[in-house]
Amino acid sequence: MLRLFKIEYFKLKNSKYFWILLGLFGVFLLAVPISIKFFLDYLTSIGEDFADLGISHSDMPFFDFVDLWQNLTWIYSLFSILLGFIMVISISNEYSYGTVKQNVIDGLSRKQFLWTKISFIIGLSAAVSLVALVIGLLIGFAWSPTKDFIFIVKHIEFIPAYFLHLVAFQLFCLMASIVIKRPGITIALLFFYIFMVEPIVSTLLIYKYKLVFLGNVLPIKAIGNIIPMPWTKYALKETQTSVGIDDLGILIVYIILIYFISEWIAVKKDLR
Amino acid sequence: MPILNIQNLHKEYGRITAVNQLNLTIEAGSVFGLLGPNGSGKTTTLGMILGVTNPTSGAYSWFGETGSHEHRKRIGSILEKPNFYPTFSAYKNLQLACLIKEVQESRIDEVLEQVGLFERRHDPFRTYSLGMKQRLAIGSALLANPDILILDEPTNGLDPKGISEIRQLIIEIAQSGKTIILASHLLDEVQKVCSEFAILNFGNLIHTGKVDDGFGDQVLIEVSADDNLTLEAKILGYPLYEKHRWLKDKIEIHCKSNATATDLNQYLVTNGIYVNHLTVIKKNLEQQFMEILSQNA
Ligand SMILES: Nc1ncnc2c1ncn2[C@@H]1O[C@H](COP(=O)(O)OP(=O)(O)OP(=O)(O)O)[C@@H](O)[C@H]1O
Ligand SMILES: [Mg+2]
Repeated sequence: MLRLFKIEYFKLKNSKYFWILLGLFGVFLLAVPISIKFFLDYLTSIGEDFADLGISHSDMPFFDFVDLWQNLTWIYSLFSILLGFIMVISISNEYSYGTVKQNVIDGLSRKQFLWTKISFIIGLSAAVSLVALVIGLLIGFAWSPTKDFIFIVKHIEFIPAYFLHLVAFQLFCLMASIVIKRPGITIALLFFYIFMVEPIVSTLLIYKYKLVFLGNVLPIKAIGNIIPMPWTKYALKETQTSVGIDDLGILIVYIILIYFISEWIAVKKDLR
Repeated sequence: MPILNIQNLHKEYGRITAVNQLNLTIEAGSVFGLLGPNGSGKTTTLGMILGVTNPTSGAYSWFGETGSHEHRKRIGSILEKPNFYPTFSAYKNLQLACLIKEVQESRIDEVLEQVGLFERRHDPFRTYSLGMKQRLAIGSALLANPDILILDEPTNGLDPKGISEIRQLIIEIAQSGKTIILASHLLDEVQKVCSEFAILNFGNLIHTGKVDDGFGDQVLIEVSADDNLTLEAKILGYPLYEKHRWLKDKIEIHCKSNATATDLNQYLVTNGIYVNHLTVIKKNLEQQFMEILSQNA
């Protein structure tokens, strides 16, 4: 498994797009909490609060422990697409260059080839989750009024949830690339699906047809649901503030399903 | 011990049968030519024994064991066209192959020298000419110092110098006792390097045999002299003469099987003719090939 990871890492570390996308992602990881901090401070400094909206930024304890993990990982989850694109480009390039074929001829089984990608997804997701943990601790210690151990760890489960989210999302991109095989088309279709098709279908299902379960079980929605959107709680709406067992269950079913579909295609189809 | 054993290997693409119930055994140390017209199933056959094409049915074994990816690490192969990462240099591409094949990187410089790409080793693959790409593919196949080389059209795209260098390389590798499977439709290529050959046609194995080094019950000798007309008149009297025909500026003589170049030369000298060219022609694989194909049409 380590050897398979190293093979993929060798390919990526020598590819420009990997560093660009990863760098961009890294910039967001740092810039997002910092700019939110500045924004909230700015609001305080001009004395603005959204009293008429029923929200007060002083009641919006973005960086307070307990809330922090969900807030941070939810925002971070919006940028997962950048990591997804690394996989899309990596895999579809292999198909268009014919290098999958060459890797197999050179001595990887087709399942091993798939696992070079999956092991990298797991490794990268673990590293990113760890970075999120460190950033969370740092900004929490800097800006959270409460620093009690019990509050720090109360909802730290959002970090492993974020890890699962990253794995699932990248696996989804992997599957799409294995099915479609062309980098440009895969990226275009993923964009179209993630930002147009699924939000519309899911909103229609949930709000128009009241098929709440069905609307929530669509793949991208389900992959996002593991970290529920936290903001509504600041408007005093009822908000899920922990990782739901049902959401976790659905996500794990997706991970397994996506894996077996990808494996089926990667192993059963001829490499031509 | 057979190094490769193929049993009832079969591949269908929809209505097309690309390879039909193929049985083939290749012994260690042989240089085996796989011949056949375009679309006869050569690449499909090699694709199956290299794990990139799934057989519809049938099986194959390497070294007496059911074929797996572990064997492929010790097999050097080229399939159809060079497949490398275009933005990586030759060196990086080979480094990656080393990771996959689990061999030492110290081999990289050696093979790059061997295929004449050492000077250009740090340039991106996409900037190479077709011949250079093909050379890199051959270099990559040699990387693990494999006991078996599988080469599908290895001289495709090479210049004449490149072709003869690669053929020389193949012959040297063969002499070091390795097994080579060479798919080609260049009969001349197979004739020059192979000891055995098989012919596929429409996916069927229609012939296996040795590459002949004689012309059956005849010997073919090509000669020319300064005065070819006198030469033609004289050879009619050669005791082992059977028939002859004109080539461009030479005469090809079909002689009885005990004729030799020395014997003919002696005869001509005693008849006052000094030749400026004299070669014994080996049986032409092309003729053999066309014959077999037409018999099986
Ligand atoms: N992916 C594919 N889908 C459909 N048919 C295919 C596919 N690959 C090969 N074939 C068919 O299988 C047959 C054998 O093709 P193959 O490539 O093995 O021939 P070949 O002997 O290598 O020919 P060439 O000398 O041109 O390289 C051909 O009829 C070809 O059209
Ligand atoms: Mg071919």
